[in-house]
Amino acid sequence: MRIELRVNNLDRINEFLDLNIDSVIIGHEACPHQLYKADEILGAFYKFKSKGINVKFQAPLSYEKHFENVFDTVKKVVNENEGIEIVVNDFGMLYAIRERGLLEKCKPVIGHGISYSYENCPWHEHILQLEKEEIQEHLLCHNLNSRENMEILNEFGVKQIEIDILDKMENSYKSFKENGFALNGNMDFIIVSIARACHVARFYGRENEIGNNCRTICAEPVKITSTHRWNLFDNTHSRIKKEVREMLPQMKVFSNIICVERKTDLKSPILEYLDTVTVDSRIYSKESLGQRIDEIRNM
Amino acid sequence: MAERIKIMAPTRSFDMTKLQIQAGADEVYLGLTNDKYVTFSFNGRFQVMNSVSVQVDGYEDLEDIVAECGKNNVKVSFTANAHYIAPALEDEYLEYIKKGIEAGADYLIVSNMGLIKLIRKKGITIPIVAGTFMVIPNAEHIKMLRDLGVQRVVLPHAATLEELKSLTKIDGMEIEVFCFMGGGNNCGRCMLLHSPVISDISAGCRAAYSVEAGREKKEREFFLDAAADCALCSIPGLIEAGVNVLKIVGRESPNPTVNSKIVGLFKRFVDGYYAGETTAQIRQELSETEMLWNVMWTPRFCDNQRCKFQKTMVVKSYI
Repeated sequence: MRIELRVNNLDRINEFLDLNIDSVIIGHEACPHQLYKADEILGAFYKFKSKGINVKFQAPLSYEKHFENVFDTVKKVVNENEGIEIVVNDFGMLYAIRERGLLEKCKPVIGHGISYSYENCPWHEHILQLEKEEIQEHLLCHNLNSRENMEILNEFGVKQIEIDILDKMENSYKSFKENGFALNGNMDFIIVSIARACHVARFYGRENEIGNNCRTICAEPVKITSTHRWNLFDNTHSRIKKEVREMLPQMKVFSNIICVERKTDLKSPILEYLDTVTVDSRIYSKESLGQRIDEIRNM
Repeated sequence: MAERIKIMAPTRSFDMTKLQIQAGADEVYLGLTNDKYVTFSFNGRFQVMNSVSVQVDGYEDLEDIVAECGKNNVKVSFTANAHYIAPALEDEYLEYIKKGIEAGADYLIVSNMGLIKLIRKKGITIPIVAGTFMVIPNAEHIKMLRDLGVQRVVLPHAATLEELKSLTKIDGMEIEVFCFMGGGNNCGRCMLLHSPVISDISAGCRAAYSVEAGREKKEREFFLDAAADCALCSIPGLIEAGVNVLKIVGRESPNPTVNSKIVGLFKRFVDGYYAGETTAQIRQELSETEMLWNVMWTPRFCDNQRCKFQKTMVVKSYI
């Protein structure tokens, strides 16, 4: 199994160059402001490639305002790295890659922005509890696991899908493998939700800095734990009962990405379906990152 | 001359439908209950929310509602917009869709591209609306959906007015936007789901949180609340941008009369625009009491700047 490192912060690049990894993926799932300029990305690629590490680029989910700038970066990256894998987090980017003639020069990969299931909900067991066991199994399916979705992915040249390592997705992941898709699983990290708003900048009252070299605002995650529910129709909040609060996990927010850290069991049968595991540099310190990569390498 | 913008209202029963028609709805959307699931459904809402049955109770009721809409020249969108359907349930899903079509629905709302392809493969030709769970953030995705045979798209809650001006320019595609209430994240790629079983688990984007940011710790913070709720003052901008349909949420509304009052309020602003009135003039004409009785509009939305498409703190935090 190959090991890939997800890199958002190029200031840490020297930490990463000597890690025991096969590839790196540079970019972001959903924030165009966290993309480095094309020449900075290409410079980082050069450093990794000179160490024998393969490179990949991730295009963030792009609202219309950002689309052409992000596509422009994709184009520059592809033109300098023919055959590169480009992770897309919205279907518009996938469409543009094919329609604007880039498909012959790159390999699109489905990213977490468009890859999910109800199992990504941290309290899905409670939401599903009244359904029959058979129905629960059907509801715990990957959103792209169907013949027609896979036909669409094939039409757009997709051969690889990024997924979360979720215990109940075995049938979906088996189906993807049987249909020729490579799977790339996020270790220790599940993306629960993606927003357009930068929750972190809003929390600090720094909305006016968004887009203006704002990468430092969200360099450290903010940890949140649910305490009060919202009552939709009277717009009030009530304290969540203790026994319910205890089943709601702490979440981490990186700008507009909300995730749950959950250490992946290296003996999980799900790992057998994976071609690559991704270790996300955002959630590890310098020391723990190398240690985790070694644990995966030795499993 | 461009077609008038339409107001799409939620419904779940014959009586609620009549209220929405009286309030001025041009279109309604609804879903049908099913016995395959206990809490889930083939569309974007659970069967029951906060003890309110969200779906139309049975096929006969559905037929009556569609007939009543037909008599009043009101179009009906049938919701089949689950995030996804497992292959083992596709036959039941198609049966569900057929009921909506047989009852006479005009549109089908679908939120998964594979399901759109499946529906077309089966020879079902009803116009399809791509729902908000699809998360359609840019023109290229709209073009992809047009190629798949979609006639209308529902844009994400966080699309901006500037973006709408270009997204409405795609030939052959109608654009629908939410004008009342919404989610704080990309609905569809947000699994902070409220629970149909445990009332304490509400929509995560509106919950309050204990927050740890470095050494700072804060309680009861609405950390993820990036939702905007009201587009009344933006109606002229939305019409001039070329938006075709304004959608109002509330199939789960405990009081259909209140929801129809909301529809009526939007209708008043839309009619006012076409009659040459300014938003300020319409606001002046409506009494504060009237605004208060409409789900406490003035303090809840205006005073708290819960405005869609305006430069509020929430909208400024959009990436």
